[in-house]
Amino acid sequence: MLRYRTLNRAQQAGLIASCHDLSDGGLGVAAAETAFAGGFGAQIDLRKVRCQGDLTDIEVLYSESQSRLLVTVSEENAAEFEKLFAGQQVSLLGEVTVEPSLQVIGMEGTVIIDRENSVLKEVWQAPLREM
Amino acid sequence: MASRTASRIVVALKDGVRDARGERVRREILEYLKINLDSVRTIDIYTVDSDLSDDELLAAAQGPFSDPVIQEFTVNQPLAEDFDLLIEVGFRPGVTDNAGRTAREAIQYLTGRCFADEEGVYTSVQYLLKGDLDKATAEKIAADFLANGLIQRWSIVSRDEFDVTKGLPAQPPRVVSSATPEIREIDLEVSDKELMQISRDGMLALNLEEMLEIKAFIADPEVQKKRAAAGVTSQLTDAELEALAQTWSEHCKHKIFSAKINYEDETGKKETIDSLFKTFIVGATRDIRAAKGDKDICLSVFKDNAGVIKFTDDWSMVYKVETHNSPSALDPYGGALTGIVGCNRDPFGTGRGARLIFNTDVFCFASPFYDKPLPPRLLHPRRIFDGVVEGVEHGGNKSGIPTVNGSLVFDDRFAGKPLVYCGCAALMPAQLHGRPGHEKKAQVGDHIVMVGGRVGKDGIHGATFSSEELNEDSPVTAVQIGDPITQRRMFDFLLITRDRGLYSAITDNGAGGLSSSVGEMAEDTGGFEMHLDRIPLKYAGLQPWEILISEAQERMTIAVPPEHLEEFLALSREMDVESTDLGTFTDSGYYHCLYEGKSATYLPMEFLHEGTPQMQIPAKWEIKTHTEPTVADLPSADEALETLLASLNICSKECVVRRYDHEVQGATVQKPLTGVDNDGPADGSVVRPLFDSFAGISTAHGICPRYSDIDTYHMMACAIDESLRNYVSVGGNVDHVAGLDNFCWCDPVESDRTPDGQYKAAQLVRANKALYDYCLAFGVPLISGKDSMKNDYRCANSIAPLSHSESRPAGWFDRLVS
Amino acid sequence: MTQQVRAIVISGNGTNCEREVANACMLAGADVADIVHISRLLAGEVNLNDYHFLNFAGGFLDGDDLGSAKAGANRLRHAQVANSEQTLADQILEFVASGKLVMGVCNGFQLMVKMGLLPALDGDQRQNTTLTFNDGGRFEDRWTYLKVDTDSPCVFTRGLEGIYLPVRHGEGKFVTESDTLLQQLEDHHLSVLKYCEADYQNITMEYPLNPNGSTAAVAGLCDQTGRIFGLMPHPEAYVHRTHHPRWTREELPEEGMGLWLYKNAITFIRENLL
Repeated sequence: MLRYRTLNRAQQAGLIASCHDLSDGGLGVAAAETAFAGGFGAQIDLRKVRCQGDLTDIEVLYSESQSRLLVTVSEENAAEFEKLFAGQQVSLLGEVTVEPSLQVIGMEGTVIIDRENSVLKEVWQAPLREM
Repeated sequence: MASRTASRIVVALKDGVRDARGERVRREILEYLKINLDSVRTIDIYTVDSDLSDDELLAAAQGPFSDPVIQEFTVNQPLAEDFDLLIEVGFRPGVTDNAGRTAREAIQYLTGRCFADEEGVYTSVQYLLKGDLDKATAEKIAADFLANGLIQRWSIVSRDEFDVTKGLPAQPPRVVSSATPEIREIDLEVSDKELMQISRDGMLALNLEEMLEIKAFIADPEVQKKRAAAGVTSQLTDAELEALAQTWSEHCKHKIFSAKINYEDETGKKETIDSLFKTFIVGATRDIRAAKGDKDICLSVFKDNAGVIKFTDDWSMVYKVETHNSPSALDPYGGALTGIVGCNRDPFGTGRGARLIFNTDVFCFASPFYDKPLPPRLLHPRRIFDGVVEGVEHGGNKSGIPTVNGSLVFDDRFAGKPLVYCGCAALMPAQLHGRPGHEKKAQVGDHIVMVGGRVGKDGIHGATFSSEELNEDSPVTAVQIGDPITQRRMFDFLLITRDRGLYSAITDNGAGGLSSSVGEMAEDTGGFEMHLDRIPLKYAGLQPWEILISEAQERMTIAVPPEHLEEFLALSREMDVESTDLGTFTDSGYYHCLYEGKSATYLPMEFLHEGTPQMQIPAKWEIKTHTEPTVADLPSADEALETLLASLNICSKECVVRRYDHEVQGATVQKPLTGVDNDGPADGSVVRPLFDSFAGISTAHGICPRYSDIDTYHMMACAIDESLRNYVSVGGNVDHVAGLDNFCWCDPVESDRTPDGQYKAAQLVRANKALYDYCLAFGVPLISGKDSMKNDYRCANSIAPLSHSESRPAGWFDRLVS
Repeated sequence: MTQQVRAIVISGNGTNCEREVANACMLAGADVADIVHISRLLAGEVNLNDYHFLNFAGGFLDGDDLGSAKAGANRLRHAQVANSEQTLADQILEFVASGKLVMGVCNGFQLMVKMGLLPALDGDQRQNTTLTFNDGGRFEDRWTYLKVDTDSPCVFTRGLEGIYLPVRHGEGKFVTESDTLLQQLEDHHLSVLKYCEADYQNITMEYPLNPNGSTAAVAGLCDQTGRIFGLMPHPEAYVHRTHHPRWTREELPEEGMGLWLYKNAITFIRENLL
């Protein structure tokens, strides 16, 4: 509840560039959707994700643990954002890139996903497009 | 009988004009039925059941019925040519035919004369099929795709059989009834077995305990004395029994949510819950409101058609979510259309009336690509998908209400029963004529006025199936089709009368029809007297009890003080809306209906509303074990991402979202599609409903039926968190938020048909416990909700297990531009 | 101010956008923007003559049951105004003849075309163009780029080159009864708005930029006086920057592009009709 209320304050202060909830498909899907909707790329490092115990790449990427949100914050607002969330469970996972693709670094430090936005978006749009 | 000669006006596209409808039908026949036709073309038919002159018919054909740029027409001559088989699909008698109603009005304007009640215009469509097919295949195309036998009829003609000079004969679907209205008496001094027979035969869904309660009531000498004094039959009448069945139904009384539940958890610990509704839902809201003190935002909860919370100083916000599952399974288009248009009447009829500002919807279907054999009588999920989406599209778009938020949830277990949730929000003035806008109270002496559509056998629980032989001319009862335009006219009219202060109370006619709406409103005064013979009918031949409980759509019940009656009715006439004075609210203590001066019902209000005995339900929880998938079997991270993005529950729903007008009313400032190309998924939506204010309402929802296989407690907890997460991610203020709970459940009462009822009841208990715990933790009061408790499909050897729930917060945040 | 700019929006029988249209008129500087239910016009309580700017709002007149706005056009043509010899169509023609402004949006545009108010080339009051089912066969809500014909006599688009507005319709495909007529409309610069690419330059027949397959990509049409104007996209749906689908990510002026059309109308009235 404190997290949501703090997010409200960050929104009111204009600190948030984008915000997307983590639900079906967890962090992986939220990151991909944020990337291809926003038209920018993203590079995220799974080693930065707070986990309980040792988890595999797949578990970290696609876990549907509740109450999590993925936000992007511009460089100049980062400090103030972090100040607002001080003491809370918040992690800097990576950065938004101009290059429109999603790059994920796994728990071993290697790149485990490198896909262009257009590829991911096409996969996401195709199934029900003709309905 | 009718000596009128009906005529046919035939309208076809000119040569060379693209027939987009025909092309779509051809494509869909290929997809659904794997029948590859060379071409499909379509022709519109208007069957005019009125004695018009040739000139008048011609004027109608070339005026309102055809478009001179792209269409050609004939009168009583065919335009069909160059086909192998022709299928004409029209409505069965008594089915709402919106285009027919418009066509009738158009002729009235054109000719300047009024149709008689029994005259009309009926629409049908001819499909001209070309390709290698025989009549049996055409029959399959008609029955399995083009038409729905519950509401439509069709004829199939081959090229050789077709009369090229006359075409098909005019066969208007007139309702023909020889029944004379009568009040039937029912002898309840019979054995228990026969009592249950009466309940079953009449499809009353009253159990033995309830039947015995009614039997004891009517046998009571005091009751007999009063009936004799009032000149009422000593035996119970059919209308009385029907009114009791309606009032005591699961739908109206929420018997399961009000039941006493004996719950045993996995450790054997037992507890008794006296009403899930009171304990967990009302309880959560009560405790949160107390904790919030003067920051409480609730204005009217659980007592009206929808919940009301504070919005701005001048405006209050109304929200309601409904389900419309069974009708959508039978007739996906009509069911969903009725669902959304019906749901709209709830917030409209809350307090003294509210203006509708947005709709939301959530559908749960089986995969549209489902390719396993289906049990009998089930429609293919793709047909349900298409029909429901189109129904909600027409219902929302034509009503001018933006559909701003929704979900599609796919699970093949929804093949048995699709779930269709429709939500609607509205705004009402915080103060209206010196009183809060959310308060209403009918006064003794107020007139009972029914406004809107006419009454037919729509939605009557099918009792006629057993008591009356079904034939081609029998009106259709089980399925209703909504009429957004009739409703829109009614709403336009009622908002004006509201602002002029012409009525004391308003409510909608939904389940149970007038029986429920007038019965409930009369609790304010303690009685009413209503004349069933004054009610305008769609067609003759309805019994008094049918008029009382008909669920014909697009009607509101209004309590109009005598001093405003004349003004109310005059404005209604001017605005082309039908309003009828049916009687008055009284303090007699009686639910009193008359038909041509004879009492059809004479029931004490308190027996009707307090008489129903509380159900007892046992519930036993057990933990089911599930094997965790092993990670070794999983694909690589990047393949998994693509698989997930392409999965039905995650992939883009743009095809559906674009079909809903999500921007009408000019208030949708966070649209359901977002991002650089306007096609990314938004978590929720924000509307800014007042032109002169930046106050916004954000809305979102959560739904996670999959978790019900493990534990419904966590399913509910996750749904609440998901909805709040979505809400907050579009900027919703977590300190000004309210929730709506919506349960779709399997029957949780143990019986021969539901041997695992105790487990299902325990699932229900656990979901409610989570609802209480998490709403309290988040400070989200519940303001309204709905339960639909019989979402089972039964066939010989399987019961599709479905259970899930949804929670839907709606709230407010104070600054939109930051 | 001695005289007021008075706008009227006709409502009823399935109009849906009357509130937004009235709001747009007021934001653009009208002194009065009355939403008047058609029953009041038919009862003779309100007369069109008392206004300068007539608006037909979007919606689904009579559910579009007989084809978009067909039944609505029939009503205007045949329903008698109480205590007069006139139909509403007669009143509208008088209104047009007196040099005033008419704008129809979406269903309002469909209504004008089906009544023969547009294009009304050389006074021809037959319906000789139509708006019919989108090539995709479906209703769609999406934002479109529109190129303005800067040589058009259209009063509403003066000074504009391109605008970005949402379409929300199932029957928006523009069709003329003949190629000759289409050519005449082009020659007179009456097809004033066309679906185009994001550069506001290249007119397109490509879906989804052209959402309905309109002939010659026509999205809006005016008559030869430029005072009578109809369009499928919704200008009243973009009068403030928060209406823009990407307002949270782009730098946009406070005023929406749709408002420009209404401002031009109000300016014209102030200069010519008061």
